[in-house]
Amino acid sequence: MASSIYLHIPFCATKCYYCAFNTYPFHKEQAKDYLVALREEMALYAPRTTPLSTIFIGGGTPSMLSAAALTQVFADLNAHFQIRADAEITVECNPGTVDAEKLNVMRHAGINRLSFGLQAMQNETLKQLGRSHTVADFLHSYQLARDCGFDNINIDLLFALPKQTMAEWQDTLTKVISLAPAHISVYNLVMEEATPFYEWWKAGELPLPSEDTEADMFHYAIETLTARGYEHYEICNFARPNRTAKHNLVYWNNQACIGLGTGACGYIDGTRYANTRGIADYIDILQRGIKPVTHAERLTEQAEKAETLMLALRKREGISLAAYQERFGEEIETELGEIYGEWIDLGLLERTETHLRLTNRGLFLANEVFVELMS
Amino acid sequence: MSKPLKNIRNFCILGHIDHGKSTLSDRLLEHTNTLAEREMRAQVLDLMELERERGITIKATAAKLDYTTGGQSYELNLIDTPGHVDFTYEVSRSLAACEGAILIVDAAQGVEAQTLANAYLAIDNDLEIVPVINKIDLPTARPDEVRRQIEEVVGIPGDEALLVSAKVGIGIPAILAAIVNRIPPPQGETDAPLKALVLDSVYDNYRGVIMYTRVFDGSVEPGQKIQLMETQRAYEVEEVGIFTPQLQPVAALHTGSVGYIIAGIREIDKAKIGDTITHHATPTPIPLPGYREMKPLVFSGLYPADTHQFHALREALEKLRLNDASFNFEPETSIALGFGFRCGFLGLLHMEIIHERLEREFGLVLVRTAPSVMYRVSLKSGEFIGVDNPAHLPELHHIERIEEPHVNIDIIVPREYIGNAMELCQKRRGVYKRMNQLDAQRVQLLYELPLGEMLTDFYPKLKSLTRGYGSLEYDIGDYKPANLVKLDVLLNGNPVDAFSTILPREVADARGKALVSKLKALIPRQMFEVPIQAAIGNKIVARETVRPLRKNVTAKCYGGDITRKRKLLERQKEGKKRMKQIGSVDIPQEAFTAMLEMDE
Ligand SMILES: Nc1nc2c(ncn2[C@@H]2O[C@H](COP(=O)(O)OP(=O)(O)OP(=O)(O)O)[C@@H](O)[C@H]2O)c(=O)[nH]1
Ligand SMILES: C[S@@+](CC[C@H](N)C(=O)[O-])C[C@H]1O[C@@H](n2cnc3c(N)ncnc32)[C@H](O)[C@@H]1O
Ligand code: SF4
Ligand SMILES: [Mg+2]
Repeated sequence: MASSIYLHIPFCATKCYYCAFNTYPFHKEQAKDYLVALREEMALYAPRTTPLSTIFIGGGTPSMLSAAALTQVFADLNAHFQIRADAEITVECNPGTVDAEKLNVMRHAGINRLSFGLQAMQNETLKQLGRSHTVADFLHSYQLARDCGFDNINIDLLFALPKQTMAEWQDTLTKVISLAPAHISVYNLVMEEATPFYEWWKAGELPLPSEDTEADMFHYAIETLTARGYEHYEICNFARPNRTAKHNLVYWNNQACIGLGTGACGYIDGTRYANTRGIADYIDILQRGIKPVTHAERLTEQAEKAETLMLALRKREGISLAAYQERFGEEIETELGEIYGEWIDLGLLERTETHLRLTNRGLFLANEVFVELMS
Repeated sequence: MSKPLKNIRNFCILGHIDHGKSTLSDRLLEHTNTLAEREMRAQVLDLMELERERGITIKATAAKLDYTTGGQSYELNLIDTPGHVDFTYEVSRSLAACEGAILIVDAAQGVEAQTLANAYLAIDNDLEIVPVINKIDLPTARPDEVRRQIEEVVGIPGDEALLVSAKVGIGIPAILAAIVNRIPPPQGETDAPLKALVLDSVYDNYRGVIMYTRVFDGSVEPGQKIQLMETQRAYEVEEVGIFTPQLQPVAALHTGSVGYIIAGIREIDKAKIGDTITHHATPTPIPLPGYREMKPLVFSGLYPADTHQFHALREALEKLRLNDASFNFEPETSIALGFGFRCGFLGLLHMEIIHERLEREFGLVLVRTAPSVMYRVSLKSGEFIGVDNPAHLPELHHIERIEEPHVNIDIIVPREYIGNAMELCQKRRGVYKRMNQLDAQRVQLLYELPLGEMLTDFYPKLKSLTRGYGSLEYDIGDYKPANLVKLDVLLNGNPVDAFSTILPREVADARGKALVSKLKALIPRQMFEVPIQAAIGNKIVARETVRPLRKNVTAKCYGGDITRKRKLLERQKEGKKRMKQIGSVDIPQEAFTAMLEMDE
């Protein structure tokens, strides 16, 4: 049983050079069929949910859908699932793809959170990333959203970008903070296979900042954002009080979530699954009334433990000792064995009354720790 | 059906590397219709994948050709041999099976170092030599000049040399005629007790040892009981056959022929190359002299990347040694690399090839340490020891004297590169001996230099300094004392035995610096600072530091793709496990390999 849904909209106007998400160019006819298929899929999962407390509509670019199409998606969700009155419902928006009409439709449909992929506050940088919007487009969209009454808005930022300097990164942060969004995510750029950036990087043609600069940038973000009243609650995520992303916390707490749409992943009753990535394939399979799942794996207890630790340690508060014990009937300390003490000695982990968490140093080296958690 | 001895010819093809031995073999196979057209491909006798990839012959390969001329049908047993100096052992083994040799010389390159070395081997073995000038199709061919070199430099009549293009197929019938007319048939007693030489062997997982053999007296057929004279073991023959070059069973192998014998031999160490095969009931009174044991010149450690594979490595080494008696191995341990073997090879290429064959043919992943020579060390206590692993050199204050092996090298270069070649030899502590003018363009340079100097890319350097024209041949010389020291590398204060080297005192500091800075680039940043030092005894001669890792955190745990992320981490963990840990410093295996590529 699950009380969260991730719903994927696999369309983008253009493909950003760094992006490996499952997205395709937008075709009106196909989009129509896609929404029909989504409805089919909802029906297949409806019996496996309890009243929903989080919904995340991500992409791709959900905000590319027309106001009418969006209305349709929300109507379908409401028809198939019970949604709690206090549910967090987020839609990912690309700057420049929303207007007052769309925003109003969303608002009336019960959407209470928006997430804008801004990435950087310099037009030159946006261009180099292959983004299809300008800083002005973003400011305009953001203002429209605020005017429409959205007060829970996240802004995604990228750092460690090609040629990016510390000064540029500081400029981006300062400008974003001045807008006072409820939530800010800062992601270091990751080289994903099968992207133009990856190819250029392999060919030695992508001038990425050094590891030290990257660490400095990350450090700067943490210092600045916490000083300006944002709680650093997950490695990359910062929120004003009570504005943490409930949907993302479902992931970090390794709780069940249904994934709908092409390439979406889900986790129900101890099984992780992934849907087919192709749109045509997805539509085709659902026309036959079958779940479009291509990969499913029932987690072994070992895998579930590893994933639970790896996810929960991303949170600043760390992993709850009691919750772990309750879930696995065993103490974390016993589970980790020798490395538990080693990591504490190395200053990577620390133990509070109730939690085990990464230290400030451990936070920067989280992957080194996570690797060791694997069996 | 057996041929009378007068209708059998056993010959090998000899020459310098790349002069066209395998290509000529192709033409001979084709011309005698030994292989169907669809079976033909370039250098068809280079059976090993590794040979095909590198375009060189590594193993001598035999093939039986049927040839009819003047109303007589002949059995011609051909052996294609490698040209590279490291595989000379293959050549000597082949010679023992032959009465004649085709000595091939590239019409454009002329006589080169291995042409000479191989020609002398053939002469020593009393073989009839048929000189062939190949590649006459090339615009740069100088057949007359080469003819003169054969006469004056090699010392065999040049006017007998046949003009050939193996590639285009010119002059092939003349070669076949010369094989029949000039090479003597084998001698031997058809009715005498069986006397056959084990030329080579391979291990087949289903059939056991397959022995490649030349029958000198008598004959052998399935069902007979044979005996290996040196190891005194008896076996029943299951199958005998010839090479097409694939194995093809026949009813019997007769006097004078080359072929193989399968006799259900499972104990690898019982089928020694060079041993004599005879009948169990009626043994030949005198065994064949066999082969001279080869003394390895170059030593390095081979370690399984996965420490659990130690036994698999031992088995693989044993099986491979069946097929190549010119390397040896002995177990050793390294603090850095665990359990492995110290192996001795005939040269650097030989070392590389054995390493690669172990990986490919036996599915192993190996770490190899830097090559070393065998040092002779006299201790203050009056004792003498041989040191083939630098890590085992006793501490300086125990040492009276260290001697290192020297080689006499013979370099042939075009005149315009004499300066470059000499400078290289000088730099490598070479002592000039002599220079001979070979022809208007080329000279032969004779130097004596420490073998150890040849292990750090001497040959590639020579090649690049002579635009690929220089050729090199060497003979092992004497041991001579030198002012040598051991350079150690310390990581985080702990010496890494696999990185130790022995080298002349005067270059040790510079090498230490180079080593340390190379390692710095190879060792990933760790959770703590890692000092890298080079030391001679207690004296630190170079130091660098790998700064601690500051950041390794992935931005985002994407959407639901959590399992993907977990699997990625699991793979990284696997990778980490494969790193070698020394005093909690993780060293990637590439570091050991990359250290082999150290330049001066
Ligand atoms: N032009 C020309 N090229 C030739 C001729 N014979 C051989 N080659 C080329 O010379 C190169 C080396 O030929 P191989 O037959 O492999 O030489 P090899 O003597 O067997 O070499 P190793 O076994 O490594 O010692 C190949 O590229 C051949 O195609 C020839 O008659 N003319
Ligand atoms: C699911 S994506 C899509 C959001 C939306 N389409 C947009 O780009 O505005 C969410 C965020 O992931 C981040 N992201 C995408 N590719 C990334 C990469 N290669 N490395 C790090 N972050 C990445 C970007 O910050 C992006 O805003
Ligand atoms: S980053 Fe966002 S807009 Fe760019 S291609 Fe990826 S999903 Fe589409
Ligand atoms: Mg060859």
